[in-house]
Amino acid sequence: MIAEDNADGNSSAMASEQPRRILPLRLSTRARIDRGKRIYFEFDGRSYFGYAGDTLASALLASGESIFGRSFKYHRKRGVFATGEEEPNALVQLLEENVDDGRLVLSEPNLKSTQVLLRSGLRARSQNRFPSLKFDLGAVAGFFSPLLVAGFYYKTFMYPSRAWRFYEYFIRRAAGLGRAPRSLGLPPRIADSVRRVGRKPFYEWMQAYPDVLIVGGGLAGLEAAEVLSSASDGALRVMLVEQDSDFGGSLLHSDPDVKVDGLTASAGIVARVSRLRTRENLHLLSHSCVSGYYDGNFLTAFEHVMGSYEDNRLPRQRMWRIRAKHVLLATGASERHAVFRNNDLPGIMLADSIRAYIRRYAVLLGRTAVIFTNNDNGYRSALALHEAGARVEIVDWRKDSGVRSEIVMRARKAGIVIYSNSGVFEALSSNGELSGVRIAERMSARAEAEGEDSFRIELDSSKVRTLTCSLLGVSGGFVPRVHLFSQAGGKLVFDSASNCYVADVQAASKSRLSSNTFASNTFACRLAGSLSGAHDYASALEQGRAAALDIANHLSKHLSKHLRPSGRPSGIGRGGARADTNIISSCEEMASAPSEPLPASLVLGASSSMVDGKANGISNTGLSAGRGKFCFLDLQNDSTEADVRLAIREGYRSLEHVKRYTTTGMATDQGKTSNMNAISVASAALETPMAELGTTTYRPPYSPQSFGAFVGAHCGELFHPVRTTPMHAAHISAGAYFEDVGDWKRPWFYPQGKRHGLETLSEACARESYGVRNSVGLFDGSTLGKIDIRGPDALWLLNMLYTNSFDNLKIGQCRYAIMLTEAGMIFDDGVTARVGKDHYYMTTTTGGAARVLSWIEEWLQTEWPTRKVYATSVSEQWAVCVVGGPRARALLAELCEDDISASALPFMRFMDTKICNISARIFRVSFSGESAFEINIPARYGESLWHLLCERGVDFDLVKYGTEAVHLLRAEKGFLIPGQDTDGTVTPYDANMGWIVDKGKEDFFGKRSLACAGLTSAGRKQLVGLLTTDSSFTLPEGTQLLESPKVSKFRRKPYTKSIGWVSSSYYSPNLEKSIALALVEDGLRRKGDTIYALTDRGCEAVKIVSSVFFDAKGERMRA
Amino acid sequence: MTAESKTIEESGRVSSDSLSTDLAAGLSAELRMQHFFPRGEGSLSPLVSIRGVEPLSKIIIRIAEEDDAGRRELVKFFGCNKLPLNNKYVASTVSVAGVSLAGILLWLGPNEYMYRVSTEDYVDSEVSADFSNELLAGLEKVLVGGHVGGHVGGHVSRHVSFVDVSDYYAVVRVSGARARRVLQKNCPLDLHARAFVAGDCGQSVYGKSSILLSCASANTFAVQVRISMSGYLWELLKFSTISESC
Repeated sequence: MIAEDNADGNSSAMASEQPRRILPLRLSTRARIDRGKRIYFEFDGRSYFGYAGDTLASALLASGESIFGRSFKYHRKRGVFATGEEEPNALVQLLEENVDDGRLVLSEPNLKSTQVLLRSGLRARSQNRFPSLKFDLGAVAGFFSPLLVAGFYYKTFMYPSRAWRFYEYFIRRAAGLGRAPRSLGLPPRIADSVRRVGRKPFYEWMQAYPDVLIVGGGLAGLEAAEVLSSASDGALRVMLVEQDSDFGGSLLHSDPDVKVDGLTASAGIVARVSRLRTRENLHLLSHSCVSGYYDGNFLTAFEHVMGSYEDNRLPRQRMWRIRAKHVLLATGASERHAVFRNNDLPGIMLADSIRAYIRRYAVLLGRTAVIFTNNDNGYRSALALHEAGARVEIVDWRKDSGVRSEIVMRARKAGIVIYSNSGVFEALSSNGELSGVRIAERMSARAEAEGEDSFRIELDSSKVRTLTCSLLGVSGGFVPRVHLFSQAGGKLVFDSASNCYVADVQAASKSRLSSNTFASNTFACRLAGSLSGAHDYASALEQGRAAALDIANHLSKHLSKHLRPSGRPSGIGRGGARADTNIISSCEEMASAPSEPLPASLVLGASSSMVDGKANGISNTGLSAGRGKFCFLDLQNDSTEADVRLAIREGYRSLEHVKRYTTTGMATDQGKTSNMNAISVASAALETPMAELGTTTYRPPYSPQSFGAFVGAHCGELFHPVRTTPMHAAHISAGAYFEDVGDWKRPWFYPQGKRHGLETLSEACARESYGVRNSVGLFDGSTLGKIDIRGPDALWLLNMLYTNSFDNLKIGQCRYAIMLTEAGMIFDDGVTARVGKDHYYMTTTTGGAARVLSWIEEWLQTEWPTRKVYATSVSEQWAVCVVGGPRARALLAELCEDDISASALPFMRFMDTKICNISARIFRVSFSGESAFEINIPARYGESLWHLLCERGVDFDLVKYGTEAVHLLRAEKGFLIPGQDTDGTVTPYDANMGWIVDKGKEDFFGKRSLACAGLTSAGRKQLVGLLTTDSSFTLPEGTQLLESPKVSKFRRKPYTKSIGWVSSSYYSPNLEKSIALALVEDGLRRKGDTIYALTDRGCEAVKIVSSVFFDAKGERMRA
Repeated sequence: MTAESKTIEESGRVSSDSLSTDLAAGLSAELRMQHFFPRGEGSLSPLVSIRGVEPLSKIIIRIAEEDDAGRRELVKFFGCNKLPLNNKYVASTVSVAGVSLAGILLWLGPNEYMYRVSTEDYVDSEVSADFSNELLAGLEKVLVGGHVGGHVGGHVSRHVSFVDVSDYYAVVRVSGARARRVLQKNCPLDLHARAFVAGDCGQSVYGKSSILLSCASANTFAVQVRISMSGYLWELLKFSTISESC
């Protein structure tokens, strides 16, 4: 059963079908699959099988499937276009069983089926089709294609603007990829992680710090790994990352005559890699994509962990966070498509991929094939097809491909028909799949010269031919994968010989490092292999070695042992008879018979005459609007040549704008198959050479990555640390509700059972605060910041930090004080005690603990390094039980060894004593306005002390109270909380605390600012108390205060401006009325005035009063 | 002597005789030490072990870089050859209250060190080696001269600071063949076997909790964390062992 709403209704019925017994397109030739291991899997509800070593794509292709998905916009049928990571079409979504209930649910979306390794039980389905691949209702969009031009959504869904939300729902459903998985199970719950081991899929991170990171495990990368890992007797830490599941790059599908270490390339690579695996200092990582290259040689790689679907103890993916001293990029090159009409039909592929399917997976994708190429590499695919038994014809763009190269001669000898000097300008379809191509010869040299316009090479319409085929391989040349180099800040230049952008090694060689190197102040990276233009295996090998030796030499300066280059011949060479030497590397051939750039798009010339009668509708040329329709650039996003031309006609000039307007290159292949052609079309349309046009910016990621991998372990209960006090377990067992204060969990209130259910917050708060005022309360104050300050300059430091003077504070005394920023604004407060001559114990607010210590350290380290004072945080060393209320002293007297009578321990004093033989420090301070004691005891005894107090407190009617009651009690006393009643713009004078500022002190933070005109002028908002007319009505905190009750007919829009706001507001059960603290303009001078509070129920008259509502003389507090 | 007591060993471990005596006074009373720190074996993999360590004496010592005489006193007091340098720690043996206490002295900054009773001996032990008060008094005596922060014989004494942080931090011992991998998952220090060796320490993070990490041997590490975050650290370490079981 499929649980998701959009899953196929008929899939379960389909699944019961027997898998096909034969694999119609599977060859019996040697390949990198294990025919002994048959693997069954499911796609769109049908069962299939493939072999170990297959990808989902290769297994489905072998089974004869050709349609893998529907395109984004027009819902055209799409087949496999490439191998591996470049695939734009064949995206799938996986299905998995939910670990909680075993239902089948959607899992990872948008995976490239060319990268999904076949495994037993794999279930996948195609995307972006409804109800099925073969019959897709969305395909109706194709009929409206004249409407669906670039910017269609922007142009169409503009009005009315409010309706966008309505449109969006349908647009997102219609134009989409896979669906985000809802849940494969509950998020990780740490409490029962033991039970869940091996069940819930998860992700994790790993860090790595190699001396050298090699990106790309092709020939150049492997050779570099060989050299670097053996350099300096293995002193270097080397890491090699390859995105394919196997190392070897293009050697994995090279022709049989390429030998590695005297073996076939495939076997030779296996031997080589297994030898490298034994090296302790070399870390080989396959199936891992290096996706981002950031500042300071920081790179991220995403490892698809092998076996993680079978064994749920393994993470699905592992994000590697790599900081490398040196980076060697050997990322290779991508093949380029050509732009012609219907170039997206299933059956059209990159030529080299056709060869990869034959050589690596033993899959022949078509029995009648055409190869359209502008270089010799296409001939390799043609020959591979020919060997596999297909009928092949070659369309070669080059003017005279006949004589120059060996490979062409081989093709001729094999009897392959070659149409040289020709191009494909249209693909023909039957039932949405490729059935043939139409080709034409290029214009004669004279005609082209007459055109005098290199941007508009057209085909001679008098020489048109139709070829029948079911497979078309296109090779428009190779584009180096410069993405990572470019992300790192490397510059690109247009190379007209290869007709693409390459790394600017010219600029790089100006640096002190050698050529093929890009270096800046912060990092060093080098290039090797086809990325840096190596056109054959021999030079790729040589580049890999050279770059590796260069790095090794560079690093060896920092090593004790000097590098001894091994000098060992690498052993990769040409095998077979001498006659075969020319066929070692296709790229080598390209060097002798270079490719000729294809034009931006292939079209018939204007003077076309209808040769075979089928040219209707394709003869309109030039820059007319119809041209380029269904000449696709970005196969996944359905953006066409016409779209790019339209964007340019509409005035877009920057490639970045064209890209975003048309969405070209924004598909999940990140433009690898589309960008060069799009730039080429834009270049033609703008009549600007590509060299001047440049590229769009390359940014991470190199290819899309799962969010899960970025998140790693940091989700569910591990999302963020939760800080708990030593008494946390006691709070939980007392049924406390918790309040999040920073990262802390603090008890908010302790609801007690009543007749129906539990007390509400206000009920509990009323009971708790009543208890504190009338008997005794117990509160967990452990989270307060505590700083030990010691040194001859400790007093001087305190006098600088605080507004009041500490000169006359005697040992054993405490003092409440506030700290200001340099701007004169309150930022923290607390009580500081003097414990020795040069020794103080400072407390801060809970939230301010780290900030205050950093503040002190910053000043000591940067401004006053000669001052002799040390500050050390001791916040969590001490558990703090706050015992307050009229009966607090009596309760404590039972527990303390020493006399704690009012004379022995008066207000604002502390005492070192013992409670049950454990050293404790008791501060006689008060935040509640009652006679209160803050007992500091080593944290390990905190919970025990808490229980003891609760136990003994029974006789004293002790109540546990939480932060809500604390806030209420202090508000009754008018004590401010920095951050609640201040907002960084409140001075001590604004807070009516001028008494705490010692103007006589030589200096303190904020002293100078307090004298500024702006801080002393009238009109400042000042902290006052407010009483509501209706004493049972509690003002909401944040309520705006007005001078006049007049409001417009829209109730919430007052005629007068706000003159302040409510910062704290409670209903006080002790006073039997609601009270509030507020910041009001000139409030201190306006006591007795009535102002108005704008609330949901209208304008409430409120009276400005003193902020002290209770025990104004402080008699209870001092008792 | 209880059944759990250990015999005195020559290697400088705590004499459990005097330890029991010392603790008896505190623990026999009504206040009991609470196990709010991680305990027991947390690993979900046989290839790595994570175990909580009882709260042991920890002291932060501040002393000026240029105070050579004071530094010599410290070296003498802690029974080490020299004070540790950048991101290193040294072994220490202190005699307090008649027992020889094995510990380590970790570098935290140019003028900041932490002394910690060696964790090795106290994994899962029921007793706590709380010698903090004795250690503080001893330091006061050798560095300041017997009076808290004060004058001795009429002259201002040395500018130093030492603070008991025994209960501030919890220590988790991570050991076994996969210990480095478990730590490397969420700690951005370079923990490669060549880069982080026995005697190294470093202040960093594990996930989002600040830690002080030290390497005792090739496969044994101590992770010190603020005790309020020890639950988070413990669970994240535990989570990180899942994939190390195969």
